[in-house]
This record gives sequence, structure tokens and C-alpha cells, in this order.
Amino acid sequence: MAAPLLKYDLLLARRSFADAFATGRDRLLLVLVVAFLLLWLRDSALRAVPPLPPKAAMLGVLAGPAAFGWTRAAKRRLAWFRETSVLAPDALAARASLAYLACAQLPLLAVLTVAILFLSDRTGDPFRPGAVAFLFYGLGVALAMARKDGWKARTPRRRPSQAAEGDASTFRIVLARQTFDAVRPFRIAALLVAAAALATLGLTWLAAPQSPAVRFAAALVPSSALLVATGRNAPQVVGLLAFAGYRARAVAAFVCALPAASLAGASTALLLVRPEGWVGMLGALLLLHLFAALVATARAWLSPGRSARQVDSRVQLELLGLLVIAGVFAPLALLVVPWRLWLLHRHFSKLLWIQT
Amino acid sequence: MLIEAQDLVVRRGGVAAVNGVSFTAPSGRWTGIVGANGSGKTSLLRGLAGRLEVQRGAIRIDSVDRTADRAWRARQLGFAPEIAALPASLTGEELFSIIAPDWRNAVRTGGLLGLRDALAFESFLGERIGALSAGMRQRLALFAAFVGAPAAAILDEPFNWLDPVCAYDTRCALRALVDGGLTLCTALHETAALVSSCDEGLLLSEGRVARTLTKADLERGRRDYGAFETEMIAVLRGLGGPVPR
Repeated sequence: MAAPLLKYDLLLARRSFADAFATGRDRLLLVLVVAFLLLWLRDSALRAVPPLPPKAAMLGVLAGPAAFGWTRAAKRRLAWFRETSVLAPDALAARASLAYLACAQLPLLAVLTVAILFLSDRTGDPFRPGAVAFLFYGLGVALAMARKDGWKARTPRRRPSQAAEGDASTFRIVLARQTFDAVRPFRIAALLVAAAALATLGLTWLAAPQSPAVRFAAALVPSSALLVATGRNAPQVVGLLAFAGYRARAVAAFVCALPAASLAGASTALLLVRPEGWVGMLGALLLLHLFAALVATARAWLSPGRSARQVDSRVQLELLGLLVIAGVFAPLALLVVPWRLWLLHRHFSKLLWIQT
Repeated sequence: MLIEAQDLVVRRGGVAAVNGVSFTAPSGRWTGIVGANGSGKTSLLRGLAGRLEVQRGAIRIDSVDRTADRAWRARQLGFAPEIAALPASLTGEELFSIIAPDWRNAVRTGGLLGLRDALAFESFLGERIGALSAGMRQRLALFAAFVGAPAAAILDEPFNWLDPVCAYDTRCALRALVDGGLTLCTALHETAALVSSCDEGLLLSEGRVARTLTKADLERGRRDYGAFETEMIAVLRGLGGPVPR
């Protein structure tokens, strides 16, 4: 009954994967990431003999939210099928939709089972980790099923003009995407940065007598929240800039302006309070914003010709690869980042060159 | 297939996009629905076709109450998706095969050869949908409503993006299907298409029926289109249509 829905999604997943790794360089990157992941598993994860209770508890705690999020995503997908897609008759049939939701659990259940088998192999107790994890998994699924939600068509209330006349107006469009406000993006961005700076000021002042960990968190949380909230990916906008004649560096400057402003605000706040260990906090703030700026730049330079989903998948995969490389041999990561950025810059500039 | 809607309410984002609409789409007839942007045409059609939940009212198909059975309506009423909802990375052939694995047989046995020829999509059926123009995607979306050979079809602005020749051929092919017994409901943006092709009409304004048009009304429109169009626009403006500048 759910066959058309599954066939549709599997075909789309296969095509997306093939598109994301269409060139020889992309495939080489994938092979490298997988190779490093296997190396890391062999050298780090498999060597450690984990103490059972913390690992089982961790697995259980992770399984619950993962099942909840995964099931909600499957429900939203089903709701989209019902309202908009050509397969609405299948998605509206009760048995087919239940079968679809059940089949959607299989990939996550497979990952969970492998994790349980790995744990039981290391500890000799297959029952307890499995029971805890599946109990939390079931709870996560039940909560997601009980929740009434669905896919909602998002119609933008206001649209920014697509006719950019110059750098300022183009920057306004990019900023509008990041701030979710097409009418007053500069004002909203300024307010957000000011709010984050004030929050940093207040929190670091309040947390001054606390432990170092609390002081660090107080200094980093407002900026982190700002960066997460404004890290919206808009490949249809920044991708278009490549074809419109904008240089790679200009596009990077557009998408990095907000993280730069956030860094300036938070650093000023930190310097005003100067809590104990403020130099380390400043360094952490700098690293945080540098990371956000690098991700934003990578997203922007990957955007031409790709959908938001493809860009996000690529960036996530590359970050995972970077994490693995850093885990295996940290200095190598410091070389890989500029090398990869250089490749992306060349990719973006080549598109520009073709067009001009 | 006789479609009857009674006091229908469809809410979207907390607002009643369709607010107490009643009308009848007779069997083997073409009913055209015209209204301003945001007047509730799409929500009404989606509600009828089971794609949206109906909050109030009744939908009877062949005099049987099918209001609660969205799945039945979605299965029995062909519905053309928006072109934006078509999967960009699939080909038209793959899309049709997923909807109905034996769609080529259905075309032959379901009397759809005329529509297939009018839409003329065979030449780009093997190409990815994302690489096609809006008009080509619209041709595929239109045909997607018919691959299951339904007895009734609901099309939302079917002639958008089609070139004049294809739009004309499609209109003729749809007319032939209606004459062969198909019940057709279409939202239209032009009163000209309403007059030239439809048997019945419905003017929507702010989610309500502004006027029901009979075959005689449309016949009058064919005789004097200018006067008819002026009258229809006045009706739409009078009930909350766009204010003239």
C-alpha cells in the first residue's frame, strides 16, 4: 500500500545523492570522508571499552529525541504528500500512511540496533542497553504520533525586491533572509546584535562569581543563539549572485557581515565586564564566530546550482569529515579547511567567469 | 459523477478561505470557477479533491456523503498538482509510472489519447522535470490528474504557462472528455475561457459565492462577450474585488 510513497522517496534520495556527488572531485571527497570515518572507528571508538551504565543511559537518552524528531519529520512529509503531491490518494489512505510511517523508522532502527550490538559486544550485556534504548525510542515515537502537527505551506508575508541595483540593495536582500524581515533588515539585524551584546554583558556580569564553566557559557550563549537564529541558508539568493556577476569574496562578505557584527558586539560587552579569564572567553568567542563565518561562506559558495537541501547535506557531510580528520590527526584539519575553501572559491569564481 | 458541495468551509492559517460555499458540478459538465487572487478558488478545489480538510459543510458525490472520506475523494477525483510540487529530479515517465504503473494502458483504454496528443509531452518525457520550462511542467502536471483515468477531474488554472496552441488543443481535448462523460471543475483566471469552454460557472469573492452562472448565462456571454466581461468584473469588484486605480 505504501509502495508508491516509498518508491517516490527512495528515488528522490538516490537522485539527490547522485547529484550531490556528481563530479569526480565530489566522489573523491566522499571516499576520503568514509575512509577517515572508518579509520576513526578503528582507532578510537572500537578500541575503547565503555562502562555500561553511562553508555546505555546515553543511548537511551539519544534514542528518545531521535525517534521523536524522525517521526515528526516523517509525519510532516506525509502531510505534504496529502496536501500537495501527486501521491495524495496513497498518503490519505490510513493503512498506507501507517505503513509509510512504519517503514520510515527502519533506517533509524537499523542504526540503533548496530549501536546496541556494538555495546553488547563490548560489555557482554545485550539486554540492558537494548531495553533502555528501545523503551526511549518507543516513547519518542509515541510522543511524536500523539502530537498534532503537519506540513504547512509557507507563504512569505512580504517579499524583498529581486531587482538588485547595487551592493547595498543586494546586501539588504541577503540580510533580509538572515533576519526573516524583508522590510527592515538593517534595523532588525542591529537590534539582534545589540540584544546579544546586552545579554552577553548582563550574563557575564551575573556569572562573574560562578565557576569557570558557567562564566564561559554566559559569554558564549547569547552569540551562539544569535548565530543559530540568523544562520538561514538561502541558496536561491546567494546562488543567483554568482550568475549576476558578484565576486566570490563579495558574496562571502555579505553572508559574514552579521557574524562579524555579532563578534564586535559580544567582544565589546566582554571587554566592558572583563570577568576572570576574559582572554580565554574572547578567544572562544572568536573561534565561535570564525566557525559561523566559515560555514556561511561554504554554504554561499556551494549554493549556485544547488537546492537548500543539497547545500545543507554537503556542508553537514564536510563538517563531519572535518571532525573525523581532526579526531585522527588535528593538524591536518588546519590544512584541510583552507584547501577546501580554496576549492569552493574556485568553483564559485569559475561560474562567474563562464558568465562574464 | 455528480459533485455537490453544501455550506463548505475550508480554513487556511486560521482564516476561512472558503466560507459557506454551496454549488453543484453536474455529471458530464465543465464547471468553471473564477475569482480574484485569494478569493478561495484553490482552497475550494483542494477541499473537494481531499487535499485539504473541510471544517464544515458536506460534499456529496453521486448523492453519497463523502465529506469525511478524504482518501476516497483523492482516489476518485483526478487532481493536477502545482508545478512547484513536481519532483525536480525525476523524469515525467518516472512520475507517471509511480502514480499509475500501467499509465500507458490507461491512456489507451481511458480515451486519453486526445489529451496526450494535445499536451504533446512525449518528446520531453525522459527529461528531468527540473530542467523543463514552466509550460512543459504544466503539461505534465495536467496529465498527472488523468493517468488514473478518473470519472471526474479538478484542475486549478490549467492553462497557466501553456503556449496558445497547446492551450487551445488542451481546451478542445478537455471539452471532448467532458462530452464523453467526464465531470470537470476548473479554476480559471479568464472569463474568456469560462465563456468559450464551460457549461456552468461560479464567481467567488472573499470565500463566498458571488454569482452562479448557468448555461444560458454563458451562452449570452458567447453572443456578447464584451458586455458579459464588464458585468462579471463589476460583480467581482462589488463584492470585495481589487479596487480600481
